[in-house]
Amino acid sequence: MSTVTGTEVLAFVDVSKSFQGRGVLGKARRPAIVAVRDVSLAVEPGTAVGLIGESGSGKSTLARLALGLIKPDGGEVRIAGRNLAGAPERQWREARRAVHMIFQDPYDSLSARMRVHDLVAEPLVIHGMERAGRRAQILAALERAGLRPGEEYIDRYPHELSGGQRQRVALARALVLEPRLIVADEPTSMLDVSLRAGLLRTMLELRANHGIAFLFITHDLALARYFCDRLAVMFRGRLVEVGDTDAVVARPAHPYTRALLQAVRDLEVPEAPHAATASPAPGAGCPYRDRCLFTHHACTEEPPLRSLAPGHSVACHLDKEKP
Amino acid sequence: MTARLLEVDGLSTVYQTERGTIRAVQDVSFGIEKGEVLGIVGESGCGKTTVAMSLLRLIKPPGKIVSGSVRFEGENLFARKRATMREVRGARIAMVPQAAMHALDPVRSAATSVAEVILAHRDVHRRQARASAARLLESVGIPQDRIGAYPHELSGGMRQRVVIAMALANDPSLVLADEPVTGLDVIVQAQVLNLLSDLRQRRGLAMMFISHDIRAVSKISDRIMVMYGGRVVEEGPAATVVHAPKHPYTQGLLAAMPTMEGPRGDVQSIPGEVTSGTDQLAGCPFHPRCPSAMDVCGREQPAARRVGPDHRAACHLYEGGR
Repeated sequence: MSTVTGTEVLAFVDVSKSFQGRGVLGKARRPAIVAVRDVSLAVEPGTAVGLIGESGSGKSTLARLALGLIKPDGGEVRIAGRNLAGAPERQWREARRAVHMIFQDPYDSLSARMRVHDLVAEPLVIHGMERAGRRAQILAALERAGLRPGEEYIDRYPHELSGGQRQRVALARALVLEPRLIVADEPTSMLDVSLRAGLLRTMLELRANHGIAFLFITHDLALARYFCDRLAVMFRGRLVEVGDTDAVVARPAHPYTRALLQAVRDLEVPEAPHAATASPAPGAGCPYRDRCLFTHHACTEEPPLRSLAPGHSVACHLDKEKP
Repeated sequence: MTARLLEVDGLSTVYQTERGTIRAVQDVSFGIEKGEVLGIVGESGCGKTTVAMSLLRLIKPPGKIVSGSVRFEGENLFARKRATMREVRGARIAMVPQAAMHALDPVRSAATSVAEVILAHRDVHRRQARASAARLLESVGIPQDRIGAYPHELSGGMRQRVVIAMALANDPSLVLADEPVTGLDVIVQAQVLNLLSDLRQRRGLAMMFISHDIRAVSKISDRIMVMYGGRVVEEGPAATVVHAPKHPYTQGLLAAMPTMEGPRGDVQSIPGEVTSGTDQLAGCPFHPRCPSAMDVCGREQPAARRVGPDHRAACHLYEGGR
C-alpha cells in the first residue's frame, strides 16, 4: 500500500468516485457507476508512475481527479501535500498550477486558429502570470519540449506542424507554468512509431533535469516499462497490483497483470472458461473473478491490496499463504 | 504453375492537390498466394491504405491510378468496367476499413448489419440472410444472445468482430484488413488477432493485413512488405523481416519500439520527420533520415534487390547484390 510520506507531488488516499447513471430523460435513476474505488497511490518528484488498464478501468477518472477537475466522493487527492477538495479557491488554483495534462491526440487538443505563441501563452494568461519577458518564457518552454530553436516554431499554426511537433507544443503548454507533475494520457499513441522514442526521451530529460513527475496513462506495457519507475495496474476501478516496474514485469502477481503481459509479449490471451460478458454484480467479490482462470470460492470476497515485497502489492487471494 | 491469387504489378497512384502532385504509391509490385497473409507495414502517409484502395478501384478524384495492373484470380481488375467492380468488392475481395468499428450503423443490430451485406450481393430471402448472419456472427465469437445487439451495446472488441463478420459475409477469397486491431485494448487486440488467424485456417482465407504495428503484423503474416514514402523498401518472410531486417528503415522501425525483453533503456528514434509524398525527392525516399545514407542515395532510387532467400530490399547498401 502506498503510504503517504509527505514528499510526494501527488497522492491519492483511499479515493473513490462514482457517477450517477441516468435514464434517457435524465429522470429515471440508474445504479451509480463506480469509476474508481479505494485507490491509494503516490507519485514522487521526478518519477513516473504508469497507470495501466483497459478502457473503462478508471484511468481517466483518476487523471481528472489529479487535475482537480472533479471531486472525489471519498478520500483525498493531495497535490504537494495539500488536499485539493477542501482548499479555498486561491489555494486550489495554486495547486492546480503544479499539475498539467497532455492528451492523446495532438490533432484534437490544440486550437487550429491559434499560433504556437498564443497556445503556449494561454496557461500564463489563465493563471494571471502575464508579464514582460513572456516571449522568452515561451521560447524556453518550447525548447525544453524539444522544439529547437524555438524561434522557428513560435509563429506557426498547428497545421504547419507534424504530429510529433504538435505533441511537443502540447508539452510546452504544460511546461510553461513550471509544473511539478504532468499527467500524460497515451501521449505517443497517435504518433508514428519512428517519432515516439524522441518524445519519450524529451520527457525523460524533463524528469532528470527538472524533477518533473509523470502520471503516465497507457495500455501499452512495453511503453510503460520503458518510461516508468512504478506501475499501477487498474481493473474496473480498482488498483489490482502496484509495484516497481521491474518487479511487476518479472514477477506479476495478479492474474490480470499476467494476462496483460502475455498479450503484449506473445500477442496471446489465456481465454477464461467463461469469457467476459458483462460486469459482475457491483460490490460483490473480486472484480476480476468472471475473467480469471483461477477463480475459487474465496473470490466472492473482494481481496484487499496486500504487500508481497517492499513496494510491491497485489489485490488477489491467490498464493496468500506464500511469502 | 499455379496462378497467384493476387498479382500487383507496377502500381502507381497519385493525388493532384493545390500544393502539387502527391505520389502516394510509386511503382509497387507484389503478389498474394491463395490462403496467404501478407502484412503491409508503414507509418502514416507511406501509401499502405492507398494500395488497398487502389486494388478495389476506390480511389476518387483528386486521386488517380496512373499506372500498373492488378490481376485477381487471373482477371485484370483494371480492365473491368467500373460499374461491375461491385461484383468484386464485398464479395470476392472484402475490406475491413480502418476504424470501421466506429462507423457501424447505430440503428442496425449486429445481425441486420451482416444480413444487409449478404443481401447486397446475393439473391436470397431476408430470412435466409439473417440465418447466415447469425451463423457468421457465432463463428467470429459473438454469443447467440448478443447478435441482436446494437453497436452502442457492444464493446470495441465485439464491434470489430461484427465488422469482420460483415467482411466474411459473402465468402471472399481475399480480405483487406486496414489497421484492424488499432485502438483496441491489448488483450482485445490479441483476441482479434487470434480470431483472424483462426478464420484464415478454417476458411483458407488470404489476407492483406495493413498496420503501423510491425509486431501485430508479424504475428499473423506469412510475408511482410515494408513501405516508406509510397515505395516498397523491403519484402520477405515475416520472421526474416522482423529478426534480420535489411533495410535501414525497417531496422530503425524495430529499434524504435519498446519491447518487453532486453534492457529497458534502448529505444532509438529515427531522426527527422516522416516523408510526405509531396516532397519531390530525388533518390531513395528514406535518405534524408537514413543513418547509412551515401552520395548515391540522394541521386538514384535504388531498385529492389535480392538480399536473401525470398527476401528483397530496395537499398543502395546491397547494390553489389548477393
